[in-house]
Amino acid sequence: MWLEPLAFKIAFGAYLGAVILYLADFMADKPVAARWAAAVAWLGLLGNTAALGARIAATGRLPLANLYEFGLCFAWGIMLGYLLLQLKVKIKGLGVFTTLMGFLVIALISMLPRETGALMPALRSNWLTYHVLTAIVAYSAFALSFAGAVLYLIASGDSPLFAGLRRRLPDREVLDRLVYQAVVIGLPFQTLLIVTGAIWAQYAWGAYWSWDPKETWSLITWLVYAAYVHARFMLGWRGRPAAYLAVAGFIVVMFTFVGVTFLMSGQHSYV
Amino acid sequence: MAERNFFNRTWRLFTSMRFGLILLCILSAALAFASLFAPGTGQGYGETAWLVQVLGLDNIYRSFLFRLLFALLCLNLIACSINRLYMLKITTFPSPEQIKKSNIEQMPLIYRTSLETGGIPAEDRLVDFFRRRHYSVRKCRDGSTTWLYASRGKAGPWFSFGLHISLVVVVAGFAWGGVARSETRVVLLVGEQAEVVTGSQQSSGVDRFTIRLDDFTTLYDASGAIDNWVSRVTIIANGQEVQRGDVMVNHPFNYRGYHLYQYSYGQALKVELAGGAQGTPQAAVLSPNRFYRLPGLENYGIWFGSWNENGTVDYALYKGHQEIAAGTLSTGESITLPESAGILRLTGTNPFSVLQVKHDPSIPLVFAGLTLMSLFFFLTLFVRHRRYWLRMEETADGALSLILGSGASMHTRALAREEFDGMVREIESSLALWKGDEQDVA
Repeated sequence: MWLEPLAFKIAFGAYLGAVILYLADFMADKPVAARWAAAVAWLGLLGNTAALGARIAATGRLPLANLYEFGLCFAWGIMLGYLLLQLKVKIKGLGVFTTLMGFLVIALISMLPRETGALMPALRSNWLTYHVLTAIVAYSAFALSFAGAVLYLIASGDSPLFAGLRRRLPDREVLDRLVYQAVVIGLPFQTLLIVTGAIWAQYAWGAYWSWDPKETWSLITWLVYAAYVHARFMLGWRGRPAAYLAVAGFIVVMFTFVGVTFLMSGQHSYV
Repeated sequence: MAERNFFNRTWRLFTSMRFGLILLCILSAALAFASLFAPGTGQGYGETAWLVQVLGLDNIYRSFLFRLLFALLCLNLIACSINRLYMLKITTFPSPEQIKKSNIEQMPLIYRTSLETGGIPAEDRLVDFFRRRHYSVRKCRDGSTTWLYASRGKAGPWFSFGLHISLVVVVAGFAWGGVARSETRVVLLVGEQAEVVTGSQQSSGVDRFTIRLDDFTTLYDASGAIDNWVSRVTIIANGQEVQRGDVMVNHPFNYRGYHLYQYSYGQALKVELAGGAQGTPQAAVLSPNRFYRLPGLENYGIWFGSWNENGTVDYALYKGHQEIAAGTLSTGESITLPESAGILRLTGTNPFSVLQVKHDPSIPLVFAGLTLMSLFFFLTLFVRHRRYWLRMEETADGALSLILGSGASMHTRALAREEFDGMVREIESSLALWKGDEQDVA
């Protein structure tokens, strides 16, 4: 019982620390800060993993049943995705935005109730696992694409405010490819998210599609990223227009994740 | 002529990717707008409910404009796919003429070299070089010029084509389901049976069968939480028991394509009205959450809530529209009715189950489309079409002029360039190696 709150606090603090350290590196060009930031981010991920493990031990099921649990997994996915990526390729500035997103998700769910109650019968299905796991992969990939797109917009802009930062950013081509590759990974998983949800809904409620707000916004997310991929493949959109579209896509993702839950009612009222 | 031009231009626009993208954007905006209005009757919008209904905002997803948008997107998708077919054919299976006509000099990635052949069978070696790298190679010759066309992952563009077609299949299945699907609900007390008349003329015709609820139980897990509800049912058709099974949440029961879903459940109230004007006690079974008029008391009525976990039920007694008494009842307890109308006693409860009976012939089509779509999506990602054109010409001085070209769409150009450079390095080292071998043999 004590482990989850402690692990959560470690994740919260470490992600915040990583944001500050990455920011210090990004703004003041302090490579030492970047090294510490990565270490602190790994510590946060460890805390996040421990919080998830403690919840699994407490509930006897995967932590995928409510917004708090999904948020815990989402932050974990974002951080794991980024930390694995930075083992392969170091992109200055990317850590600021990804760890910031991980931290914001953790900060948001820290305000939510942490119920460990039993699942309602409709949620006792293997399809829940497939549905939510695909959501975590898709959303984490989209979060990385968003971070890359923001960096691209900074790198390609002409605002004197970011002149100093611009010099430290990697080649625009690298950022453009990062955004594209993250979307290309996220979109098939977003498709699987919708497909697994449809199959599950058919078994549970006898309707694979019922225009529930969360379903509708998942479809909007899919359409926006499909537009991104087609604009790039067929119309040759690159650079800033493509980056703007990737940013718009992630705004839709976040609205689907948070906005729909709090502003609209439907079958997904528990997440 | 002008009309024909206009028609052609309109058709080109309609079947263009650009139009498809515009439709995607409009559809996203329409969906976002529609999600603001819960599908229903317009209730809950207060004084503006009439406006919501007049504008069709109460169920945008069923509105003509929304369906038109989907239909246009599907038509655009089909038209774009048909347009792509020819390009797919020539990019994956080019004819010798098309290979010869390929303008390697204009390709985004090119490499030129010339070498003293010194008797090396360079052509065969290069064919072998590509084949060892799992490329299929086609060779064409015209005089002293030879073309090689090496390709790998031919299926890639076809998977992308299949992805788009499977999306059309899903939407078509969804549209068919909208017309052919039928649905009804039956409320059954344990031991009761009810005839279900379901289906529609658009699907497989109207069907009749009877469902009997043999038992209804609640399953609990080890922690005592509700795990599931089980309705044990028997299907009776033409007076014969034809199928038995359980209906549970997440485990629908299937009878000849009719799926039975556990929709709701509860406890019906068994009551007995005695005394007053009643000669003999009258028994009745009442549904929860309903209002009943009391026999012999025109101005009075009683409302019962749902059966509580603690074995009680809430009730409220009304005179006209005014509540005059309220309380809870458990089994064996009674209420004394006003104006000496007698006593209403709760004698027990009887579980009931609400089953949803659905028939949707489009489900296999939709699910096949969804499965193919997911599969093609991943295959499109992992199977990339790589193509190399190579032209070799013998020059007057006996040397061999060689030009290698590769095409790549803009989104994969950086990756293709890396691969192309790698391929060039390998060809260069192979050419050097072959030459060395020939010299050694000589």
